[in-house]
Amino acid sequence: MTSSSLVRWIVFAPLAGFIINFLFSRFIKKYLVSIIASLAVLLSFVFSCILFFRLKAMPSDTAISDVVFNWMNITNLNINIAFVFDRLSAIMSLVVSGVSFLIHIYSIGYMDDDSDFKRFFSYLNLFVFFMLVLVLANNILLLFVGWEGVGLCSYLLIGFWYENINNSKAGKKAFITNRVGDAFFIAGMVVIYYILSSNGFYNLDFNTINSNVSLFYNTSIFGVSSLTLIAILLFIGATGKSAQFPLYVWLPDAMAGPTPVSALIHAATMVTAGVYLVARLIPVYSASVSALNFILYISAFTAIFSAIIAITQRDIKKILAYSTISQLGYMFMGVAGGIYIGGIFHLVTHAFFKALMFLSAGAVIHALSNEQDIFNMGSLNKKLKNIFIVMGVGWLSISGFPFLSGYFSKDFIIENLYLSGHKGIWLVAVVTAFLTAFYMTRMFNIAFIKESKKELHPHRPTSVMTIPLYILAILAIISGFFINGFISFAGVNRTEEFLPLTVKYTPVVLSLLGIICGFVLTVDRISDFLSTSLSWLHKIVYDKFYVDEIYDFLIIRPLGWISKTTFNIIDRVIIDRTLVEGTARAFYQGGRVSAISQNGNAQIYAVYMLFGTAIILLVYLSSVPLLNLIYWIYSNIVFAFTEIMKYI
Amino acid sequence: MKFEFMIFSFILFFMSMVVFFKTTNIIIMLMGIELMVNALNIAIANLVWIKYSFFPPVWVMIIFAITAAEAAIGLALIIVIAKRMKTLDVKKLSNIKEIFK
Repeated sequence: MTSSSLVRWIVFAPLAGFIINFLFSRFIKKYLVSIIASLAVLLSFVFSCILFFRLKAMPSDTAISDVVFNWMNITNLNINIAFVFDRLSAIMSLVVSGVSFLIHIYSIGYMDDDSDFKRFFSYLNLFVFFMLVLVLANNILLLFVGWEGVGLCSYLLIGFWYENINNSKAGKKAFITNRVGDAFFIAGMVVIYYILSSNGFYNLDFNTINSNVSLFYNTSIFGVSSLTLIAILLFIGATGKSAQFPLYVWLPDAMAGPTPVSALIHAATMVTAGVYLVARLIPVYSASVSALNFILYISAFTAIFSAIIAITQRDIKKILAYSTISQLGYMFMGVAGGIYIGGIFHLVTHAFFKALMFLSAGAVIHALSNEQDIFNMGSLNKKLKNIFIVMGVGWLSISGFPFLSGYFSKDFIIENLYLSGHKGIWLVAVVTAFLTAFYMTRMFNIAFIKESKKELHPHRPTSVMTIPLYILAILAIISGFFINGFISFAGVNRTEEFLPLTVKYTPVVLSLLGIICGFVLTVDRISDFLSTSLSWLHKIVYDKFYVDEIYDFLIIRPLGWISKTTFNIIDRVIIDRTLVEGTARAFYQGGRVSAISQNGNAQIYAVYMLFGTAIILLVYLSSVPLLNLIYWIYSNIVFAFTEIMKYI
Repeated sequence: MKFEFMIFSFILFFMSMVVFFKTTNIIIMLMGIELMVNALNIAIANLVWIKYSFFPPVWVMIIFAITAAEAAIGLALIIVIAKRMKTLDVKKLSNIKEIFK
């Protein structure tokens, strides 16, 4: 374990960029803001590279750590703000800072005519800061800080164009759905801390957690092994952030944000945080078979479910969003089934090709002046040739076309699923690969190759937008060839095992079949025939299996009803009407009653004065004991009587 | 203490109080107030017989001064009221803020 204070600068460079851009944006020229933001991210990429090469020269189980300061030191809890740069976080920070840098450059072109250009870049920098905190955190509490921070930035950037109420609603939906996952995350942390502190470990470092798995194994809470409990709670937390089955609903709506945001946050980096978390705690997870099975079932279901939904969508960004959900399912399958690094490798290649596809889609949307419906596009292969080529690379890559990055990473996951003995999950993964190839081909064919029905006049994207695309396209092509180097860098020993030839080639064959199907089924006559003969099925799938409606019926409406009722009864009636307005009304009515006496008649006032005097006198005299008072009056009367009698 | 003076003051006070409450003419009400104060003055002056001191006559003097000032203010107000409202009947002067409009 060596330490280097360079690690903190990976994290703090984007923070510095954010502070400069956010506080002083009024005094900085427009393009200087974007240059500062991009340079800040480039700086953390450069630092990551330096540390990466330093780490590569060291033995694989060592890490570079950096303790910045002691965050909290309470009796039984000692948490540092500390970063760790090990093999896993090295990969993640390289991907995050690298892809972020490219997207920053792209955004200069994409957001050029936006009035909130400066705000956009300061938010992006803040996001990169929190993402790097998440990735480099040394303990789970600091990871949670980054986890919440990226959620915040996601919210801010989804609702970036807040003038449209739907965008801010989508932002709220993302935030609230994430809160549900976060509650489970916190519960998982509490269980971890409970077990660790009762065994004399007073920190939440990943090292401590991962080296004390046996402690979790040997204790049980509520009759469940605490290991399984922690693993499942944290995984449910991860389903919120990584858009897995019950909590995935926010991601398609999150496409309301600007396209670079969709590429950066909702495809390449933030949504992979859950995968990273599971990979980070892989000793915990691999000790619990039931938790791994839970992850496998959820992620396999998510993968195939969202792939089916993606088949019928019309909005190019929605298709990509459902594809992202599906690919995240793959990542979880890769992490949970067999060799975890396969999931991380798919995360990396997915970051490249999905960011590429999103940015290309953004370029198309930008070129067609905010047209997102694929049926309104078409024949872009002639009009936007460079975008067509890079999008084609992304399409072939995600479809699993041989020797592109997606082929290697997806194949690796699928093979390992087979080898680990999960035959059913393997089948689902293979079918999903077919569906992925199919819907991606459909989208690509309709949007780019087929003749457009309308006359389109796209304006060509500027080179500041296309150069990041070329770089990402190159990465999407070549990154697959580094799979062996990647796996050995991560310190995992991979043993070549025998696979039946049919099993080995099924995914490739099915992917190619999917591509062919994608071309065949989108021929006008066949697609018309299918959509009329299977219109009910098409409608169900197009309406996303009514999951949003089910949520609305099961959760949102009852919650709304409860809050409305409590609002009407407690707030309106008890607090507002009775206590607040009631007080005012009581004084008002009392005033009206007593105002009757104030009629302006001076004689009446004089009578009041008389009574007042009488009352004061009575009060004064009441302090005298009653017998004394009677005696006093009696003696006065007798005295007066005798005095009067004298004169008579 | 001369008891007959005390009785006299007592009777005078109550008579003037009855005048004050029963009449509707402002001038007569003011006269009632003056008479009440005078009745009080008699009672205080009478106290000189109880305790031979300077205080009762001094009080009487002070009360004279206050009564004179009060009478001056009262009469001035009455003149204003008579000028503005053309009446001295308190029953018709029920909205006092109208007087000084």
